[in-house]
Amino acid sequence: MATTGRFARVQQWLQFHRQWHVVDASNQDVYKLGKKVADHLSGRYKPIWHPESDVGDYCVVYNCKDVAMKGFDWKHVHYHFNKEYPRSKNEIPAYQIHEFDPCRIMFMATYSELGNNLIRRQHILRLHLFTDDNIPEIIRANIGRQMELVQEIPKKSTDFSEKDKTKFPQLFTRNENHLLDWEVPIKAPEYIRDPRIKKKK
Amino acid sequence: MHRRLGTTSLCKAKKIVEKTDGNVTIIEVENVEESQKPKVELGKHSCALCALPMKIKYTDVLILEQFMREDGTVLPKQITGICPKQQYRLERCVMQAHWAGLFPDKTLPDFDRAGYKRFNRYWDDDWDMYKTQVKVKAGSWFYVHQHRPRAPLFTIGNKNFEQSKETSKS
Repeated sequence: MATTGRFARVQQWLQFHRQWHVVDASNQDVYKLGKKVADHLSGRYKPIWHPESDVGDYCVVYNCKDVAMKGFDWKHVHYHFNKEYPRSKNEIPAYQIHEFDPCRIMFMATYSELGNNLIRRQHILRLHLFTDDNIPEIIRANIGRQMELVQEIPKKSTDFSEKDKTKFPQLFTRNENHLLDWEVPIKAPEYIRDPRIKKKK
Repeated sequence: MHRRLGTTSLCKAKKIVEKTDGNVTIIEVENVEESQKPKVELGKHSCALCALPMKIKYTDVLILEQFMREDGTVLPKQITGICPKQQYRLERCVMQAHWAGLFPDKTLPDFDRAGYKRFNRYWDDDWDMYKTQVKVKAGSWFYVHQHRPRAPLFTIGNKNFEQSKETSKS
């Protein structure tokens, strides 16, 4: 790399150039993706990173409504909002926030992963979140790079072709006395709750 | 991976019950030819899933499909010849796959998709469904408003009040 010459100043610009990254958030874990996006926003993935110098990039995350959480975390993760007044606290489960604003959970995940410092407000303003894949033309024109996905998207049973299904080996061999009628779906009897038993609230 | 595969040389027949209606109804047991699929040899194990070198996950859709009926229920272990440990694991994986929406054909029409069940979820292990710890995270009031959330639902004069009521319940 030339440090002198006519091309040196161009190389300097290229080194500190702010890049625009794009990610598709569907079926990705919020917190893992949030960590990756925060690293790109703050510039931690760059070898030239320093906490006081702002070498972060722009990030565009779309399909935020399809973001995933592990297990029952949608129900179990409560976001605590402190109103700083006595006896005023708010604990809202993540799915209620997501129903109201699909981008908020993604925002809060990246905001917390940026760390508790003075520069994170600058970095979070460079993040653009979109609910679906409707990205405005102004932002789409800037995008330069697609980020790698954090998780593998699991394949549905309809995604496999008939050819793949016939190629796949069969695991258990059926008994000689096996009847195919046993594999036909049965309508389960309806469970009628005893009206005398009342659920305690 | 040293999984032994063999092709079927003998068509081991499965039996089906057939009824012919006329003046006389005849109920028979007929042989049905098995499809030409490669099979996994059991070796020392009697259980088909123990013979596999790895643990089943909810993403192994092709394996789970073989142990399921068309409506999404799991076959009993008396038919499939599986040990009870593996049967429980299989049932858990099938439940996780249903919740993750990996069987769009095999769900019931009135499958519970209320509230958080509409959103995507993933699992690392089959015992993750039993972990019910409530985790509290710090939420921040600071937010960069880039769009109006549920904007078409909130209009002046409450024209769409009923629509917003439906979505708040779901």
